[in-house]
Amino acid sequence: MTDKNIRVQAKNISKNFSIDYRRDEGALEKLLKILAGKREKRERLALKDVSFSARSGEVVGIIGKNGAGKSTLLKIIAEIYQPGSGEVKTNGSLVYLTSLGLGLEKKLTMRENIYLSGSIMGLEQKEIKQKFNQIVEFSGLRDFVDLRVYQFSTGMLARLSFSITFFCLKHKNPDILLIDEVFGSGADVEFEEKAGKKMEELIRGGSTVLMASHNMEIIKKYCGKVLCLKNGEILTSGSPDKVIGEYLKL
Amino acid sequence: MFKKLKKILSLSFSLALSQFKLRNEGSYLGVFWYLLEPLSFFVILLFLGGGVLNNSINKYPLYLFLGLIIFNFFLSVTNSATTVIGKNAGFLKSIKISPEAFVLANAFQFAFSHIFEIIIFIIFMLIFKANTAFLLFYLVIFLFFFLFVLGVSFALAVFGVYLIDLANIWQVAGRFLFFATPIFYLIPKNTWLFYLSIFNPLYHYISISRDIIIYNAFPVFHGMFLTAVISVFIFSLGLFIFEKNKHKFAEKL
Repeated sequence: MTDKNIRVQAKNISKNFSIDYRRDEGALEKLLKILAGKREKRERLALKDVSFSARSGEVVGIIGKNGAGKSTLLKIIAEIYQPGSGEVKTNGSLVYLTSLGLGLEKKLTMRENIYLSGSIMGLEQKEIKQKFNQIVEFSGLRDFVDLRVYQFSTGMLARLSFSITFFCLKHKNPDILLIDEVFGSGADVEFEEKAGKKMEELIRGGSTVLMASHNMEIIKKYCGKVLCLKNGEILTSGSPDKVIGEYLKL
Repeated sequence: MFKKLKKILSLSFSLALSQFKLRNEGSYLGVFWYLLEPLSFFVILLFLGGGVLNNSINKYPLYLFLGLIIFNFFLSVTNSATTVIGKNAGFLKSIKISPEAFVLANAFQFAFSHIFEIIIFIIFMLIFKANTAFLLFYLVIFLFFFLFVLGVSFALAVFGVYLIDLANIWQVAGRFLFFATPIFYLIPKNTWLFYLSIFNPLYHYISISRDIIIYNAFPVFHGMFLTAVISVFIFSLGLFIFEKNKHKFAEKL
């Protein structure tokens, strides 16, 4: 690949998940299975022959029904899953965002949680220290910094989660941002508006963004290109209006 | 490479710190509860060894306590390592994170508790008027012991992903190991148990520590050297198994 502007390049990605794999298997069962001899592997297709690319600064939407393979595709690009076949090339730093408030510990204080979540998101202690005041200020929870998080209301938790995630992401300033159905914060109207603006800032900030969503308004608002997945294959791709139109007819 | 290592270490340290806080949260006696197990075991075995078995081990209380806390560290870390990946499935499935950090954090967390055990050991040494200066050598012994424990942890963490009941199996194995390791007794030389113990790495860490710290005598050099080599080998082997399998964790959980 010679084009330096290409940030994400996926070539013929396929992925199968084994149906027979069981998470809750014990040693004895495993042994019995081995003694029983080989059985044919049954697999479920999650992705089939998916190819696409995204240029620097491009915002690409991924839509499709539940189970169409949106998350699997993003996780393969993020290197959380490995592709069954095909290859993915990414050029630049990458962040995969799937949930807010990852790693919040209810029994720790808000201050401790900011440091813990920050380090899980890959920041160093001194970097979190720099961001600390901004996070607290944005969340509007200055008075509760040394309170344990289990005393927080759901809305307060939502504020905290969003603030931590946003400022850590902003600090990392990734070249490629993969957003898996994370948009709003789930807090009150006032905060939601603030959060929406920050989200917009992040998406339009010049990173290459791939976003999977069921919210067609958001897809229309941000994306220059949309892929529609059906049963693991790309059904159509192209301009948002055209692809969304086809998706809604499904 | 170096930068990445630093990052993993710093992440595991903050994870370990918050886990340690969480474990001892709710009561300032948290650490006391952790120490209660080795201490109560110590009292029972002290009575058994001194009163019932009537053994002739020199400075038996120190001999016993040091053996107990070294073994306790190994068992706590490895028991917990069997489930450490499963417990952190949420992270592994939703963020690009180095899974090594969870295994390391698990070991660090128990290393913090081990510090308290060592403090109690120092108090015992003072009571029995032992020379505490030789305790400094424990830093070096513990470094290699820590590598060994990490190696075993890495391997168990991988197997624990595939075998849901590994935790139970390992607990039973731990019981056997406890009685096979000379913690509260002295192994008579040239018996079958003695020859078996040569293949038990825990025996070596414990006996080297005892010889140096309690009896102020240095074991033969090649014995210590071999133990160091085994530590590095087990660590590398465990890490190798882990690195080979870590890419599959997110899918298997």
